Amino acid sequence: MQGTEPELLANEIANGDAQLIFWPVINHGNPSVYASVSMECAGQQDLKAAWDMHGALFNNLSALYSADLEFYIGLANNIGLDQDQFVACYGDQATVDHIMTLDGIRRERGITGQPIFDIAGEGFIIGAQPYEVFAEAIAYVKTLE
Amino acid sequence: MKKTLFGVVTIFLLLGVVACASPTGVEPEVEPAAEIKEVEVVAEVEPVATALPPATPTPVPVATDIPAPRVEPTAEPADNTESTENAEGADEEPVESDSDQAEGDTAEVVEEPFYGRNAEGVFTVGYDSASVKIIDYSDFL
Repeated sequence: MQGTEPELLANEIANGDAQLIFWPVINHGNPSVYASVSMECAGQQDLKAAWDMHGALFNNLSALYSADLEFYIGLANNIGLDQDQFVACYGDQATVDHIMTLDGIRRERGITGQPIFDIAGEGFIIGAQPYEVFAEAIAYVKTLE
Repeated sequence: MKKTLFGVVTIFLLLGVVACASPTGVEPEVEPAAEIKEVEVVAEVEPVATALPPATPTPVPVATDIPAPRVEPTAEPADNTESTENAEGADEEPVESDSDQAEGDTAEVVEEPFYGRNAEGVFTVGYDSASVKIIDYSDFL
């Protein structure tokens, strides 16, 4: 999605046809939790910052396997977050619980692999696909309205 | 006399034979076989506390292979907007100034937040009024 997101944002999302919802998946243990917690903590300060962090995390994917708090603080500072608030949120068990609850829900929905994209409940796009696949799927679903 | 005696002896012999064959004269009771007791349920299976994911997710590929039929637009939104504005403008009192009218038009536009969080607590980008909701289930790793 990271590759196709800019085009979707500029077209189907900007013109009001589609809304993108990010649902965290925890498939790689604690590193997955830390990354998702970081997006959550960014979003608690500013909703747009959540997506800025979302982009920063995917751009630093290879570093996330061994990333520690200092690494995430660096990302938070880069996108202009309040560091103290970020650290407090990061260490809050409630934040982790929220992420784990969301992860439990996706498991109950049978989503075990990733990335998987639920297109308005009409079907799934599995795996990273080019923008055209998403655009065609959105256009198709809109014909069902 | 001998015949009578022989007959009596014979009767006694017959009675003896019968008595030997059935010493008690009562059919032996057949003890019932051990009753088959109902098998009790050994243990009830308790539901597992943790929610396990279904065995295999069977995501249905989106029907992207199906050619999307071209649907002609049933109405042109621009025309509707204009006609609505015109109608509202006609209802407005003529004493209102142009600046008041402009403010009224602006007030009617309700801007939706582009970045948000839905009821489930996950982050969204795009307008809530969008008909196609795409849920991106992704791990950052």
